Amino acid sequence: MSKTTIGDMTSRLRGLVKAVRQDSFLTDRMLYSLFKKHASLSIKRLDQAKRLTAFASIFESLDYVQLQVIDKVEASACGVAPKSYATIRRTCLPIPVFTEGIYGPMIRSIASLDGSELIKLTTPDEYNYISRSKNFRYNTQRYAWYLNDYLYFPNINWPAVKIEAMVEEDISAFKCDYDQKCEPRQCHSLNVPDFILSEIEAAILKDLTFQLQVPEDDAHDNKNQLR
Amino acid sequence: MASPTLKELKFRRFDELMDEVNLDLSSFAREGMIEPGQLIKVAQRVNYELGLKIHGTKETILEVEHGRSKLPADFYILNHALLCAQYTVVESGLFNGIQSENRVTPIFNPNTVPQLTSCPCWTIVNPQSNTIGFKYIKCDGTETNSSILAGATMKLCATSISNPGSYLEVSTDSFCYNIPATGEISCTIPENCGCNTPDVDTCEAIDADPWHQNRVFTTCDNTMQVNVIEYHSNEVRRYNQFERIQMVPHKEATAFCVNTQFRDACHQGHIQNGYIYVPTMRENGGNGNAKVYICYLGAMEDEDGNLLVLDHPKINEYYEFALKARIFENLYLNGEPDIERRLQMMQTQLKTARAEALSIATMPDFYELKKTIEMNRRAQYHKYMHPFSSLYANTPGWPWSYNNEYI
Repeated sequence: MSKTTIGDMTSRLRGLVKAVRQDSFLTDRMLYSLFKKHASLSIKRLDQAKRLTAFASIFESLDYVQLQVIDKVEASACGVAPKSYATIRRTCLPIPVFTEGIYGPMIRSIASLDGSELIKLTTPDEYNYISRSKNFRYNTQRYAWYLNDYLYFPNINWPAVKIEAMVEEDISAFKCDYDQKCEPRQCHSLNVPDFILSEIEAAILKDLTFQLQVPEDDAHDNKNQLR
Repeated sequence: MASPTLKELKFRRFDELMDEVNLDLSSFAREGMIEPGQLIKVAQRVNYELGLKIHGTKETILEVEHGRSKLPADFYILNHALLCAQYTVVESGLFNGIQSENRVTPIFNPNTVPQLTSCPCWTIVNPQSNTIGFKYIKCDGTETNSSILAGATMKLCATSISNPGSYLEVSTDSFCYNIPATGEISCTIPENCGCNTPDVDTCEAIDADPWHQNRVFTTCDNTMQVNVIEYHSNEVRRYNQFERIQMVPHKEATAFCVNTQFRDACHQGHIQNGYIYVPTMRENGGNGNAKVYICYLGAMEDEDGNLLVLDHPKINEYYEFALKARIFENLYLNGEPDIERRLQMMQTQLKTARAEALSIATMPDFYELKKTIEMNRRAQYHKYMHPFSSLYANTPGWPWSYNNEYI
């Protein structure tokens, strides 16, 4: 089953409001921005209920996110005590915009390139508490945290990692998929669970009803002479 | 001999335990709600509750410099320590170079220790004016004739002595010793107990049970009857002379450590901050450099420093429920909704699993039970039967025993 694309969504909304492509006010961009507004609320609600990560189809995989070593001064500036790591690596490029969940970016998993070792997403403060605990030497779990558009990895010597997340922008550069490079945005996947689409569409329709003053269908008037 | 169950203990890494928990609570694990850093202390607490029995016994030789040496990273509690005084090279290698210590094997030589038997030692006095013959049953069950001169006193080892006319004065208040070199038994502890016996290759390995190991240190001719074999890359050394070190009681060298009882030892040491100190080695012009053999209970870690937990079908449940209960506790305290019932269920399960696990972990082994019964019987014998020895001494079959075990 193919994924729902952004084009599918805008087309369906246009159908609902009986708009045509030539309407200068009702652009695809506007419909998509309305969709994002309502989708973010629904996604946060689902995230709080811990029901999102079960849907693999809404997550995109960034198969090769390159890492680089950063100096300890820079790492300390990120709020991490220097004694708790040997090296700190960071993603070379700012990572793409991820959908925000209730606890931060919606990242399903961060793993080594072969997927054999999982990295746990945490926060700099939480990592501080963990690394300062007496039993830290027994802790073999690898950690990462998200800060200022970068992911930071203490005590990892890998050249790159693999990330599975809900993205809101084009990630073809990270996937090395040059076929998709010139693909229009409308052809990209929507990355929203299908079962909340109707709920989002109803909310968008409610917005548009006021903005566009879409006339409602009249009830059939059997007495009208013009019928 | 160590109890078999101690030798059959299996361990697994904490990561493997976490994998089991993550598998059971897969939805929470997928959401990243299980933090291993919070659960290490729980596994350590369970290890502690299961007791010292689950800790492995390890040995090593420490290089003491200037009266101190760093203890191994996995050191937990000291069983005993010996200052190695002299060694002989058992096997010399074909090449020289950097030596690396690979293995240390202490060997207990049973041939050199006189063992107290349960065979009574009798004192026979002949107050008569003529030589009197009598029969007695040896401790191996054979009946033997003997005689005693007029006015003489003799001692012999026997299960019973027949004294039909009550001409002889017969009494017993001690037990005989076994002479390991000859296999005979004697009323007196032998002065030379066969310590020169060269055949040590047939000796059994030292008992792995820490309690039994402490008992290995029977003194004979002021030498410790323990051989420590140290394997180097180019030679094998056998340490056979040791000096005792009295250890100051400490949480890592408790009263159960045999060294705390060596009050007359010329060396005194203590453990502090991961180091063993023997300051007396620097006295009287000594440079404080020596080798110290230590036998200790290792921490629950493998060679790579990973935390270990016990791997037992029943006790695994205890570990898992303890971890799961802590996971739900933390989630509940952090405000996660709908956790109370799961937490209650886990706590109930944990209680049951804990009781079962502790019943297994604290169950005495067969050999412990056997030893306890033997000790108890001996104590009761000395308390109730021994005072009446003089009354029953002439009774056939006295003392009543079966296979040298008092009944």
